[in-house]
Amino acid sequence: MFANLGFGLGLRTVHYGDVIDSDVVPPVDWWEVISENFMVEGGNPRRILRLVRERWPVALHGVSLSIGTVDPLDEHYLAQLAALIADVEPAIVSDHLCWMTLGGHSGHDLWPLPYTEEALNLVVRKVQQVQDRLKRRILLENPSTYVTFSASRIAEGEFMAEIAKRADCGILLDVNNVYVSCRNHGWDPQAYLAAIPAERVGQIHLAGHTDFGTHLLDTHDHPVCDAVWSLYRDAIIKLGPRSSMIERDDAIPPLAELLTELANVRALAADALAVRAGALP
Amino acid sequence: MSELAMIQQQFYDFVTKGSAADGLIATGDLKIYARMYASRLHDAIAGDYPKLQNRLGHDEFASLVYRFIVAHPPQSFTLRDAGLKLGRYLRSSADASVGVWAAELAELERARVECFDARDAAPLQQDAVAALGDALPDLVLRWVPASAMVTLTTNVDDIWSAIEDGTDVPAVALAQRVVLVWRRATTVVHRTLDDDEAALAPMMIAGATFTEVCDVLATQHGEQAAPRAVELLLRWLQAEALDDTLVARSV
Ligand SMILES: [Fe+2]
Repeated sequence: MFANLGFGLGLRTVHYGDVIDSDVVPPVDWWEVISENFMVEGGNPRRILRLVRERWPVALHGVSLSIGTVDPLDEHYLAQLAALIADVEPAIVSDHLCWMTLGGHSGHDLWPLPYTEEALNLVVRKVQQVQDRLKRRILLENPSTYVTFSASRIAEGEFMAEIAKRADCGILLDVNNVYVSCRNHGWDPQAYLAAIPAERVGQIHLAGHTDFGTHLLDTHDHPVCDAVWSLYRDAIIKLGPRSSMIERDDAIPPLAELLTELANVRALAADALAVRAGALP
Repeated sequence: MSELAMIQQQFYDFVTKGSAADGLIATGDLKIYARMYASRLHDAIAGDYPKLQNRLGHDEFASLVYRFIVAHPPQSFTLRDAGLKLGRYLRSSADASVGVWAAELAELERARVECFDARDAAPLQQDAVAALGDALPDLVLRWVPASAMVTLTTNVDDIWSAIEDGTDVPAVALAQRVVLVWRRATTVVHRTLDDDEAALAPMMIAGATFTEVCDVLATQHGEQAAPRAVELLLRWLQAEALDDTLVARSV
């Protein structure tokens, strides 16, 4: 259902020079960009995106779709996203299973949904509308969350699976988010993974988080931790080869450091695939 | 109102206004979202108004941003626009506590943000103008699309530069000025205009012919209007501030 793009990174401003102007082409198979950062008329952001797209496949990763809000879909936003898609011809278009707008106001955050039948129906209907509007399949990413709602009745993994099946969309499996939410809410990450339909997973995110003692926060300011590496290995054993990438948004190290971390992803995926093929225990 | 709508309203009101949310959550801490809402908006707005933050100090700027987002909760899908109305907010009587200079500094910083990613356009080239010969009087002079005019009554342009250069920041003083902000290739620049340039600048948003520019300069410079017009034209060309009006473009 989804092409395997290999191993990618999130494109960040501080690395523009290393990506575009360097004589050495970084060993990255594809780049993910935050869609909203490029929904501008011109200037350096659009120039960089053009240059990157000339050399690599690009995934458009949005944060503002607000698929779970009871507000209607933001047609202005969708028009801008459609225009960006037409321009970039991305390999993947994704956003999050969350909501961020209400009454026309934006919280600029990935707010959690109560996992109820009503929310499920609403998200399914909206994903269908978005996919009709964009004339392509989108991927929804599982969020990191810091609360659960009293009204919730469905486990998050099953909620994701049901949306993907009913709306015919893909899943962007953020392994760090699975880990963070499971730790925060006492869920079982293996049960979570087991609920995810393998054929629906079009992409994987890896990232670091911060441990505040009372909770883990999805800060993207650390390297990937051991527990998340281990969960990624489990995910690849279950899913097979999948477009995988590292997100880093804060305390961003030099590109070389992220490339070393990306080499770990390649090695771990190769190891997991060998296990999957039965060549390793 | 549906259950989902009620849950989202309660969540939103808690996170953005601190209203009660009894019984809403089963586990976790809603305050995490409230803190992130405030800090993400603060950081985005601080990123767009670094010089204003520098002048007000961290705490006063944070308090201003808090009052501002209560008055103008973000409506756009992009964080880039979260602080769009900060200058207008400061100008309004709603928040006059920090003075008109703060509004003007905010407007200057905002103009730079807007120019950063405004529409691309090829600048008018010197050799193309030189090749016009007798057709020069009809040449339309228009600022590049990535440009903005900021009218000041205080010296915040000097304050901006001093902070940028790390030199002594002058005290706020009254000063009638017009600043032109524009983008050269990918770099945003600005310059305080001479008085005669400032009189021309508004005409050149829509476009004015070289003849019209000379006519306006004649009221100030009399017979020296033509050489002054040529001098300004060269200055603008070298600065890549003029749109290439010689190229027919389908927009
Ligand atoms: Fe993610």
